[in-house]
This record gives sequence, structure tokens and C-alpha cells, in this order.
Amino acid sequence: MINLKNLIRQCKKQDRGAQEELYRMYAAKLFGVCLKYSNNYQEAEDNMQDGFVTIFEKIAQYKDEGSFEGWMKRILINTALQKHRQQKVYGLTNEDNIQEEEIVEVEKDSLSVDFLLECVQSLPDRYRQVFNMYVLDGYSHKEIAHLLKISEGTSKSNLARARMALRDKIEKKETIRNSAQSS
Amino acid sequence: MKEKKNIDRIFQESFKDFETEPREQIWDNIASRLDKKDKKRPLIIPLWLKIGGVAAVMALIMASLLFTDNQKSVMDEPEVVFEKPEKSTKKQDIDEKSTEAANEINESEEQLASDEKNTESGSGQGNSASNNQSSSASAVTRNENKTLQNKNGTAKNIKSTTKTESAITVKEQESKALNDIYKKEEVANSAEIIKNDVSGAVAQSETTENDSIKSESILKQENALTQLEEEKEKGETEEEVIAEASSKKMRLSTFAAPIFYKNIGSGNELSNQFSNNGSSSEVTLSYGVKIAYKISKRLKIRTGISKIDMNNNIQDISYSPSAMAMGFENITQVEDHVSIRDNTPLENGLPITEMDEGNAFAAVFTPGEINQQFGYIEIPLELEYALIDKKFGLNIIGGGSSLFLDNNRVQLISGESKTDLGKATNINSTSFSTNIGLGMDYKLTDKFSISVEPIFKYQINTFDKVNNVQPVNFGVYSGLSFRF
Repeated sequence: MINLKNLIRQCKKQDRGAQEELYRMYAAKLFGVCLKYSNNYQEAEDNMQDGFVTIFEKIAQYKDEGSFEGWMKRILINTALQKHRQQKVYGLTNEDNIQEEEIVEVEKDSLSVDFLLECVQSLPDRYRQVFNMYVLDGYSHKEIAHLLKISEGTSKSNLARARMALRDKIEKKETIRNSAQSS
Repeated sequence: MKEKKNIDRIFQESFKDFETEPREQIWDNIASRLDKKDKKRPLIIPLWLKIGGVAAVMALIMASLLFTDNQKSVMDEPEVVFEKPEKSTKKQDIDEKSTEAANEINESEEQLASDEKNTESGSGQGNSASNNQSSSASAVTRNENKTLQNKNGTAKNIKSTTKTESAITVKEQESKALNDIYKKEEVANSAEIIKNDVSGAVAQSETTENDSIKSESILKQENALTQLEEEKEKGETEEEVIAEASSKKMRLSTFAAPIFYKNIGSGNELSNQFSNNGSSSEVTLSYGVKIAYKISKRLKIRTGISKIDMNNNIQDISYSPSAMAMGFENITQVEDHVSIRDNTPLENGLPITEMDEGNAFAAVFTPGEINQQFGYIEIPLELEYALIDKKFGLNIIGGGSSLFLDNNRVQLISGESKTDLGKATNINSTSFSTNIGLGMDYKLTDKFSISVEPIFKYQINTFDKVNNVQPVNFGVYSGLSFRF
């Protein structure tokens, strides 16, 4: 990864070639992140573009400490969060006290990533954000609350609801599959 | 066959190495947006240069109007034919006589002055007719008060009024210029916003950036507090860096400026005797240090110390060596005894031979100039209001200065030779000025910035014993500042 340092240095000089190389290095991984946090493919592409423009603008502020990939990822996640913050999605944030950390279990059966992605994408924005951040990207409820400007309680209840919604979707699919098999 | 599994685990495992290659189109879009931004960046500077340029041009126009207008009115003067005393002795006679009739005269003078005002068709003149406004109004009244004391002739009064008007015109143009600048800014800003809109970024990108920064620092919180601090610093956008820089409370500057001095009154600084003589000033230098303290986000108060020199050449005089040492008012004679008079010598510039009664040869009067120099230690107290506080800053500066006289010299200049005549006795050792100006600065780094400040200073209480003298000076102060 000595190359990466060089590449970052070139990117700091706004060298278009280096920027492209860096983009190609991480595009697939980071586009995955974008997909997770978006409603649909189109939105993920938009976030990818906005996020990378921001990355190249802010790259001078990256000081070679910590994971560069993590740094880029955070920018992309924020790009996605920001979009929905502007859209002001309310109505999903009722703080009904749902049991925290409820363990939701489903029967695992060759669930494809594509299907799981579809499930995540179909979640309401706020649920999707909280689920992604907490479960997949290791943010704490405290951080989520801060970033989404909600309370920690809301974050927790949103997570619980997200889990349930996901379970429902998965189970629904199972049922369809099972009924297809039985018929 | 089917194992029950925590839903979190299912997603974590599935998405652990989740990668999807985006379409090729995405990079093209990113590259073209980066291209646009790159192009936009250098555009910002010319825009600022333009604004700076406009300000500088306006300042120059202001200065040139002031300085040329005055010249004109001096030249126009002969057209207004009135009784015009030539010698001071004669003038005193008239002074006495006209004391009783002063009011009447003044009334008619004012009438004349306002007639003049009405008949004159200048762009700014019409506006200034309604000069019930702020300081310009007081300037007018002040001049009118002076008029009351001055019994020299109506011509002068008219002249002084027109001059005041020209000064007002200049002020108005200045404010117009400022308005122009504001407008341009607005247009520029909205143009930028539109551009952003088109590229689909709008303000989003801005806020997104800020956000990314926040999350960045928060994640770091897990690691260590110290790291968080560093991360925050790292995460700051350029604007924020500047904002933080401007959170530095103090600013120390050194500066130098060419000073254009002018007497916008009709009189002469040295003596009423020379009030009809032409005069000219050389460009001089002012230099010093300033310290500014930030009171609020946009407001700074500043003071300092500087040296400012001014000079004035009184033209069209002729002199003759004289043992009699008549001297003349307002000069302490120190060395050579010279007799000086203010009548213009022959066109060819040759000495005039004066014959006294009986055609006996009396004296040879050689044409020359009187050069008057006066310098001050200036201590300003000014407020600086930031209109724009980014990498480029634009400020309005207003305030006043105390001026302490430290150089006072009157010289006679003839050809190459200079002769000291002495000191002017009518310059107050302490005087004041009101200052107004525009400041532009460019922040080179967090700590250093360069600035250019065209400042106009209206001097108060500078001279005694002379009528219709209103000194002003204009300087373009440029310098280097250090913030801490």
C-alpha cells in the first residue's frame, strides 16, 4: 500500500489520472456502500458521484492516519444521509418503545446478497440508515443519534423496527418460495 | 436443514465483501464535475479582482475628480468678476468697511451661491442641492460659516460652495460605487448557485462536506480524545480554516501608502496673501504600524502609529533679496531675508525689474515657488466592518485620527536652489482627521494576509489664520498583516 500514499499525494494535487486510479481501486467496494444506503440504483449512482466529488475536494484534509478506505466510506455514507435529511422524512420517527436489542431470527436459506440488498433498499429511509449504520458499519447508537439528529432512543427503536421489517420481508419470501414449491 | 440465525449476522455476513462495479458512466460524470470545479476555481479570483478593480478605479475616480475639479474651479474663477482685493493691506480696509454690511453681503453671496448651484447642470449637482444629508450638509454649513467671516469677495464664496458640491458629488459617487459592488457580488453569488444547481450539487455538497467532517471526528472519538482533536482540525473546510483564523483576535500590520494631499478650499494654507495663487502638491509617503482587535465577527477596532507627510507648492510668486526683512504673516523668519510678493512674473519667466519713484532701480523680483512641508505623527482610531470575510476580504473603514505636528518647513524654490524661509506659525500642533475608506485583503496563510486600503481623510483644525482652507488627503495603504 505504498502506492496508495503516492496516489493520495497525487490526488491532493488534483491530478486527474491519479484520481481515476484511486476511483477504480475502490469503486466496487464503495458503490456497494452507496447501494446499501440508497432507495434504488439511480440514487446510489447519484450518491457515488456526489460522494467522490466530495472525496477529491476534501482529500487534502486526509492526513495519512487511519484507514483511507474508512475515510472515503464515511464521506459516502454522509452523502447518503444528507440527501435524506434534506428530504426531511418524518413520520417514521415515532418513539414507540420497542424492546431494545431484540433478537430477530430468521431461517437462513441461501439468501442472496441481491435479495438482501433489495430488502434493505425497500426499508423506509430512516430504518435503512439506522440498520446500515449500526449493523453493517459499526456505528454506535450515540453516533447515529448525533448524525441523524435524533435521540438515541429513536435510533434504537428504529433499529428494532428495521429488523422486524427485514424479517417480515425475508419470511414473506420464504412463504412464497415454499408455496411455489408445494404447488 | 434450515438453521435459525440472527438477522444481523445474515446481513453482516452477506454484505461483508459486498462489491458491485458501478457503470462506467459514473466516473465520466465525476471527472466532468471535477473539471468544472477546476475551471470554476480560477474564475473566483478574477471575480474578486474585478471587484477589487472596481473599488480601486472608484477610488481613483474619486481622487481625480477631487483633484481636477478643484483645478477647474480655480481656473474658472476669473470668469466670475467681482471686486477682488489684491493686497492684504487693502483687504483689511475692506474688512473694516464690510463689517457692517457683512450680513447683507453674505445674504447676497448665499443667494448667488445657490443661484449658481441651481443653474449649474452637473450630474451630481442636482442631488447635492438637497444637501440636508449627514456630514456633507454639515460640511456645507461649515463652509458657509467661513463665508460669513470672509469678506474677500463673492467669487471665493461661490468657489467654495461649488467645491463643497464637488466633494459631495464625489461622496455620492463613492456610495454608488459601493452599491455597484454589492450588486455585482449578489449577481456573482446567485450565478454560482445556479451553476451548482445545474451540476446537481446545490448546497448539498456544502452541507454534505460538513457532515462528513462531523462523522469523521465522531468515529475517532472511539479511539482517543486527542485524536479527535486532530481529526477535527483535519476535517475543517477551507472556510472554516479561515473562520478559525479570523477567530484570532489580534492583527498586527505594517503599511505604507502614497499620499495625495489637496486643499479643497479656495484659500492658501500659508497665508491669505497667496489665496489667489495656484498651488500643487507632490505625492508623499506615509508609513507605520497598526494593530486591530476583533470585537465581533465582523467588526474590528484598530489603532496604530504612523508618519504622514504633506507638502504644498505655492506657485506664481516672485521674490527679491531684501535687507529690510519685511517678512509676511504666518512665517517665522529664520535665515535669509527675502521679500516675496504674489504677483505673477512676466510670461517669459524672466525677472521683473521694479522701479520706484524717480526711476531709481529698486529691486529685482525673480519668479519662484514657495514649498511648504508639514508632517505629522498620526494616531488613528478606526472601525473596520467586514462585508466579506473569506479568503478575500472586503471591509468598510471609518474613524478618525489625531495628528501631531512634527515637521514644519517653508522653503523658497527658484530653479534648482532652495532657501529656507522658516516655519509656518499657523499650523496647529494638534489636529484631527476623519477617515473613511475601503479595505481589501487577501489571506495568504492562516496568519499572514496582504491588504490594500484606499482611505480618504478629511482634516480638521489643521490651519489657523487662513480662510477657506480645507485640507484633505487620500492614500492607498498597502501592507502585510500578521494575525494572532
